[in-house]
Amino acid sequence: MNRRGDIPMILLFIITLILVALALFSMVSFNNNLAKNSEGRSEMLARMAFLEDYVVAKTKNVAHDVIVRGGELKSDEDLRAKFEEIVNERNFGVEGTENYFGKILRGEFVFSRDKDKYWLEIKDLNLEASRGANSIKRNVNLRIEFDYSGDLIRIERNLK
Amino acid sequence: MNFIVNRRAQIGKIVTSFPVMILIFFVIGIYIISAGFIYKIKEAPQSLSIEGVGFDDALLKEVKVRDQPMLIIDSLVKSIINDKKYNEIRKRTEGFRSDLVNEQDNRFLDSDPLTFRKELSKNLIELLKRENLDLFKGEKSCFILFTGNGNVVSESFDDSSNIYAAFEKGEVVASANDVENYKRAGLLNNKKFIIKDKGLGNFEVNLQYYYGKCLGGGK
Repeated sequence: MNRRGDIPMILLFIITLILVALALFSMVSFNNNLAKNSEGRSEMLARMAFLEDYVVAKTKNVAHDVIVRGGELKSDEDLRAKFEEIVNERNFGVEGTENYFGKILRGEFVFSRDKDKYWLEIKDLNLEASRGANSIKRNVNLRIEFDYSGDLIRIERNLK
Repeated sequence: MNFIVNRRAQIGKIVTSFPVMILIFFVIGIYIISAGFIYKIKEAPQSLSIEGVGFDDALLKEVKVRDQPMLIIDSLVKSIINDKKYNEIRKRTEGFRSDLVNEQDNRFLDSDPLTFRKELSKNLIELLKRENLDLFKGEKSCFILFTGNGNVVSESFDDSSNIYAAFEKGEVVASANDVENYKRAGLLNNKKFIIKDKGLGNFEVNLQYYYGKCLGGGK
């Protein structure tokens, strides 16, 4: 009767030993090669930063070009059409910028002018950088303002 | 008597298991609280606004090619694509009459690769000369570019696929022939990206470059 009463205690002891062994095993077999893993991630982050700068620079470059030709462009519709035409001419297929060129092609942007400035706005721009099976996405709202001579006033980008 | 000892043993067990239980609940409590914090960290971050962008990156500067202001990086990519297409056509039309081949080149390429490359190179150098005066006040500055994609830039440099140039007082003064030092010093920026082209398929472009004051006098 007494011995039977000790069985749970013995089981408890054995289970504890097994759990300790498992914990030790998981610690020993832990892949500590974090530096190698982070290399891939940092490359993706660098690509993302590049894509963002690239898209902003391209938008600024083409918009400036369009504004400089301003005389022949009478309406906002003309501005948009010219912007779309030049951007599509300069689409060299850089991976990760598909959404940007898609948005321009579908006309999902605003290019307008008011009393003293031009402004261009693209909302919910998705950029994607990938490496192997992993990828990171970023959602950006972009607004660029120019004065009437095409000089940059300000760039505003909101990361969501 | 035996019964009493047994009972004492049971009480002993209860007494020892009680603090262990408290400890277990304590550890579980810490786990649940910290798990809750981790969940909180995963919440969507506040939107971040960045006003203004400084385009310090040399490849995001503008250069004029065919009377159009283009980003340097775009003009390099265009040049690489032109070269690849040109070589592809050459391979496919090997043995055909050259006049027919040229006709086909014109049909498939929106600009002749060599002319485009020469113009890009010339205008890029003009831009860098001006910037030597504006940005570096005429002090020695170096521009180094490895395209890793073959013939991109001009004949006016030591190597047909890369640029190594030093500028001073708004003029080209030397080709920077100590390029290895820049590599060893880890000064080269690297831009690696995939181009998806309908005709050529997917290929990787790897640009390594340096733009700034020359190392050790710039020779």
